[in-house]
Amino acid sequence: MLFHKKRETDTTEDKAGSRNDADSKAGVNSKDDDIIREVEEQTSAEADSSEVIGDAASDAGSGSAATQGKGNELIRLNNIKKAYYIGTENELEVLHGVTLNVNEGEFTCIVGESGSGKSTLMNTIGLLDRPTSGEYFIRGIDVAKISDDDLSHIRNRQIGFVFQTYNLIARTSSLDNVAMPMLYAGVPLKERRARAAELLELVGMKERMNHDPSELSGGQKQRVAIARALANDPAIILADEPTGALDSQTSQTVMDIFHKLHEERGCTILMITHSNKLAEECDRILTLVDGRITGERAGTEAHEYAAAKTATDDGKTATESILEKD
Amino acid sequence: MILENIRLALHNLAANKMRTFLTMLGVIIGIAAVIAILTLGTSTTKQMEKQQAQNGANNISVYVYNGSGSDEVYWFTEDQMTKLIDKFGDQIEAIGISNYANGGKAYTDPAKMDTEYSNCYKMGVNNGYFSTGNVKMVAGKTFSNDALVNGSNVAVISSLMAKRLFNGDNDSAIGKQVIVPNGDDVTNYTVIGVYNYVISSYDLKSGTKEEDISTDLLVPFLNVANAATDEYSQNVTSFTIQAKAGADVISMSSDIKDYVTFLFKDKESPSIGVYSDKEMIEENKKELQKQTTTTSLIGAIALLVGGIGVMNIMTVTITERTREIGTRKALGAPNSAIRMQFIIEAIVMTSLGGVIGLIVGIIAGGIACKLQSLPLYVPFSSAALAVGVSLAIGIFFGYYPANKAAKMDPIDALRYE
Repeated sequence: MLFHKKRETDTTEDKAGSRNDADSKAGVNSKDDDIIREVEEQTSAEADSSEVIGDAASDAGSGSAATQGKGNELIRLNNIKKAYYIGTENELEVLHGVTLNVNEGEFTCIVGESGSGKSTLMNTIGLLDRPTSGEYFIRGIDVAKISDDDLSHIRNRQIGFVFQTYNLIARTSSLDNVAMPMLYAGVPLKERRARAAELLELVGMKERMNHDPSELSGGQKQRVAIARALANDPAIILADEPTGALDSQTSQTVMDIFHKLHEERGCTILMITHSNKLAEECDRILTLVDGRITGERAGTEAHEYAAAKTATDDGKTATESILEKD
Repeated sequence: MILENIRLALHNLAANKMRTFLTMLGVIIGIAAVIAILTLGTSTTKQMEKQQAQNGANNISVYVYNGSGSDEVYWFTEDQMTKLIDKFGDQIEAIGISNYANGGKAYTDPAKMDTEYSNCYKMGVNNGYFSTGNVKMVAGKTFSNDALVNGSNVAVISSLMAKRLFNGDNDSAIGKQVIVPNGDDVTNYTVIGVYNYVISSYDLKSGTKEEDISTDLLVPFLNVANAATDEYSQNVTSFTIQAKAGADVISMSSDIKDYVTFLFKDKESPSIGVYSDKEMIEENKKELQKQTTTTSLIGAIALLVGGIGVMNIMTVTITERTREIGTRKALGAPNSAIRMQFIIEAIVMTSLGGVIGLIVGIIAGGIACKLQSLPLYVPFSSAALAVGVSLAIGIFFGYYPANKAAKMDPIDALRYE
């Protein structure tokens, strides 16, 4: 992989051990640095086992990359509360104590009505917003207390955002859009572009890597955005209504890319949606009602990606058959 | 990271060429104005220094006149001059005396005086004048003692007159006669020497043709003084001292002023002037410096306005790009990276403006120098100034909008419509 400062192959026990070390440290100032370093080390350890992206698809058959590290707790929210206008008459509590966890390799979905606090929850998980109270751990590290710059750092390396409105940078090619998070990770220009091209190929957008967002359709934009989310090989992909602005067929194509990333590359994905159909395709469905998680169950539908994969017997890869539909 | 930001800034500025250019225009005009003024000022100073070197800045002019209002004419007596030379002799290279008389069209053949002529001013001088006036002989020699004592009708003519009257053969002119008007009458002078005359752009300025340029016809001082009818022209009321090389001209001139004042202590309110070229040049330089500073201030105001324009556009830009800022933050850009991005965008804009302004300023200064017949001299410091000032403007006026962008809340920025 391209971004490893340190190549280490931690075992699961080692990870647990180092987490405890971090927790036991008393000095707050030095703790921040330790947290960052530790998170990075763990990522590199994990990423080491999954090879370069280009090879990931071909390795998928063996299943070794996809199943590696599966089951470890990646994020945990304990009794997270979020209130606005604190101390005024209009004080408004949006999240009333959310507790949830996401394990590595899981494709989890949060469904909820509008106004249920989905976006607030997503912003909190994405470290764009700080909770009013409660605990939030990413790989066992309490991120509630660290500085803004350290939050930026974690967002950059550990979280891949996919927005409903794509949020690609205007007048900037797909390639440069995908390369952008790597700019803030300090990756040299040449490597950035090479990796961005690989990622665009992964989502079937290689032919359009020099196009501006204004020259792309909604589905294409979202595919570029997904490639961008993968840029720094994050621990988790946070997708906030990624298909909310797309028609149902394009939605399914985008959804299939998520399935592909999940199954072939072992990506951990947390998605917010109000489409019950798409939600049923996920491993886990969490229901958010009025700022509280009220239910959890497994998805019931076999998704089309799996169907396409088994149905493909004319020599095309699953990716190709998916992408031909858009 | 800085290189990345410059690349990004150029990309963003190129996306909005018209706006970028109009914003840069303020900086371009400001820088160009300052550079043009500096170029012109430096070229003028250089020209003065060159003239100073040519004329020998070691000259001190001395004059006296009666400031009391009475009719008595004050002049330097032989006794006074001797005393002065006795006192300052070891510091003096030469003393030049000159006295203009009337002149007109000089000619050699009365039959052809309307076509073969040369305009002149008759000037009575001593041999010291050849030093103080920086007059270089090209043929013949200067005045003999006899000629000076008797005020003989002999003349040293300019090479231009030799060209007009003797076909440019300086040597053949020696010993020939020139006829010079003297009021209604004429006087014949025997040419004993020719001095070098260089036609300057000043001579030709007002459309004067080469044949109509007037040059000095140098004759013995007494030749003019003896013929004069007024006391001013009959006597020495002013002279020029050329100090020896290496002398401290400024302190010497003040000593001379003290001594001349002492020499005239018995006269009623004499007005004594003692000026060195050096002093005058220094004064001119100071005056020029003052003018340059004043005009540069006006240029600086243009720069200030240009800078405010940059700040305005940067504020507009970050508002337009709020969602981009939000996205960048969500994807992990720290505040410092956002701040740096927009400061560099402002700096790139002002620096480009600075470089264009520098070029425009040098061209404008060059044209101004050409119009004033000055040799163009571009000070290196002006290039450094242009780049430095435009960088500073970029940082100063770019910081506030950039900081505003850096401090945006990522959630609000992402939601911005």
